[in-house]
Amino acid sequence: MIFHSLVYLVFLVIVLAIYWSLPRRGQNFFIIVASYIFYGWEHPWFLLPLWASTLIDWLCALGMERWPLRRRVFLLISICFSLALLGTFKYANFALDNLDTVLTGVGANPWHVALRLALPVGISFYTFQSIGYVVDVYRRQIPAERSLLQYALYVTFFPQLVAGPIERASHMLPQYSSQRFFDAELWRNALGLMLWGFFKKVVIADNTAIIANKIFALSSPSFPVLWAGVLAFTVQIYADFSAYTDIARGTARLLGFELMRNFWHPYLATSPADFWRRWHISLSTWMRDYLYISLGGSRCSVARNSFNLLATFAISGLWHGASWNFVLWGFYWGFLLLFERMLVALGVGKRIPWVVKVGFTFLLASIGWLMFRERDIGQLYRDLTLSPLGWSRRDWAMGIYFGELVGIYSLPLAIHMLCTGVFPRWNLEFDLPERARFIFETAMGVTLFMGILMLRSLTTSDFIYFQF
Amino acid sequence: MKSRHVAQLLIFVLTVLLVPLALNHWLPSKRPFNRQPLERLRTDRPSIVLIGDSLVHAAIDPQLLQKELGDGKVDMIWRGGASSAAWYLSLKNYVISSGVKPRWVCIFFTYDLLTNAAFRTTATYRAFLESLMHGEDPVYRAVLGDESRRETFLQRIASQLYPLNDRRHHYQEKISRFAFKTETLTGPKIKGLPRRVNEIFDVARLRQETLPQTPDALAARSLVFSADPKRNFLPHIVQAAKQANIPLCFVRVRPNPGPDNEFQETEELRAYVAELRAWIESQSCAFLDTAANKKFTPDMYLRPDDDHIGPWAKASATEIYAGELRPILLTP
Repeated sequence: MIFHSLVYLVFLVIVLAIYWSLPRRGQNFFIIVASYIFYGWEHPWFLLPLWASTLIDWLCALGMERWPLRRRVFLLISICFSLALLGTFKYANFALDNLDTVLTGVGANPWHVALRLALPVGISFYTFQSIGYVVDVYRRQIPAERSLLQYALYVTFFPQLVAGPIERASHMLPQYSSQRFFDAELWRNALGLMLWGFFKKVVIADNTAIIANKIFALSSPSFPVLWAGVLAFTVQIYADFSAYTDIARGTARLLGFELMRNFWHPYLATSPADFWRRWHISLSTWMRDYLYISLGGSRCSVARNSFNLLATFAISGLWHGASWNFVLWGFYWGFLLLFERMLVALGVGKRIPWVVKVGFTFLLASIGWLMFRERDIGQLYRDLTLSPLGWSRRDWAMGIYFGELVGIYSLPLAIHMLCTGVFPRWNLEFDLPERARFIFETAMGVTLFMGILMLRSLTTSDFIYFQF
Repeated sequence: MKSRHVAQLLIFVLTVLLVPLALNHWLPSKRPFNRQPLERLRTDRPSIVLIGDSLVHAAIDPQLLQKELGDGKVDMIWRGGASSAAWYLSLKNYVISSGVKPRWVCIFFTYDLLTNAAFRTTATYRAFLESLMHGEDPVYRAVLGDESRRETFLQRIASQLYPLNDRRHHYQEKISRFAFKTETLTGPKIKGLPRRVNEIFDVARLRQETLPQTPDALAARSLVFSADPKRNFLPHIVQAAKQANIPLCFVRVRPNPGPDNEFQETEELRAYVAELRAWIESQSCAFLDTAANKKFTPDMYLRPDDDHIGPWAKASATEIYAGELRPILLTP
């Protein structure tokens, strides 16, 4: 089931109606059932790996507490199982393809074997969430959850099951065991957040996706058209993913839970490190806490620390998809962060104006998105080496036209960024009295709903992060 | 829980849902009927009307054809990307409604487009089709029904509640036009920029793995001829013409034959065309098949992979069509 479908809205209304009429224990059980319906709506077999992952990780965590001396064994069993799930469904064909290439390269006979397995949506998200829980129990940061029901709810909570945020057990498990109360103000806030999410998805992301898809389908685009396409994808991926998060957070609030913030105006970042503090926050903090720190973090030699950083980003890239362009994208960011550290150590960049820093970081992020979007490495090389010189006025006119289209569709995003990201930075706060705020929010709600009705893309697509 | 907050929540939900409902009355939900071709037909009173898509516009100069045939005025109703739904609506709402009774109406088509009812009826094409209709057209709705919108039950309810939702293409066209207009502020105006933008997405310029459904692909897919009035517009076109007592001639356009000037037809397409021809002729309509006409040589086409005649060969193509059409149209 996808968020931006009417089926989901009907599903949500039914779920909310039943949920709020149940006692707390019944509520948790009911959300699990609803989550399984949500997840298995189109492919019921996707539930099998989810159930297996839930059960094994729950048992392993309990085992760690029961037999403390064998904690490491249980940790390994759990992590190996999670990675095996990911490996089978997500990386097996990638590995086989590469093995074939290597075999062909050394003159041996390639295997030509490919697994015909569909990738269960959200597998990367829930396996990482489970690994996070098991590692937390192993590190004794949280106790193992005794109740399978409670743990199953943590893994399968439908608003964030498919594309995050990758939640922490320490944040969610206490919420699942506490009493919930219907809060009308929170509901209004949640509905507003969901409307904004729907708007971002079906108006901004889907309309810019049409431009990006068209341009990335060209075999030899001109420089201006190519970069208009990159701009379109840069807007699309942010609008798309942050829309999912907003709808997820809004839905969770309607159920009485609070999910973590996954984005904080990433295109206002002033440096690569700042970008990763604002982009897909739940993944970057996960990578920091469970991978980077496990590898030794920054409390080691410069060489080792650089290796840790690069390895973390390369794995983060690979997490996004089984393709070399994602690995390249990961390394790209890793190197940018290393370079930034070097500049900071040298004291460079302190006097650069904020606007220039933001603009330059946006440009670096856009180059990264080109690597992310373009899976053909040969084409990527051609794109990155395309000269901006020598193009006709007609080519530039086309590029500007596409750029303007992207600009028009992303205007609400820019205004939102200005009001909530830039103005507070300049200490320009708009503290409205309660009644005025209510009128403003209602007017915004009407505007967003009208926008959805009038500007919704004629073609829609799944959320980009579903494929990860 | 404060009762004020509950009231605010209710007001919020109701306002968000109801204001767009109220605004539906002020904002038009459909593109208005385009009267221009109707008025032109009434003024020109042509004796031959040609209906088709960009292929016929690229290949035929109506004035030259008129001169060649020497049988009264020739008028052309065309639109790039038009398909059988547009041809039916043009015949009904322009030719027949004009009250002008032309001696012949010729409908030009390629591949299976004459019986492929759903082809080019969604997205921006729907806006164009609306401009050919007075509100809802019962035949259009009967043939395409929900297929034209590919809507689920829930989506239909939403569309009925909020007709604005069906009007999206109109606003998106406006945005696109605005972007074209403001682009001219950045430098000298580029003539025909919208067309040139479309041209860069020509099939030949797309990567192999991203190719959309091209005419070749259309021809290659499973073809089954059907004269079921519930499934395609052809029987309605014939029926409308019969009732208005207007003779019809269906002209199959020759696609680009390739460098050897041999149009390669699949067995399936050949069988389909044979059935189509038999049915059309059984309805006392004329059928002209130019697909095998080698006078349309490869050098006349715009590009090696394009079915459009180039501007340099328009006059020659018109003369060839005149030669082919003369025996049919000038027969008493």
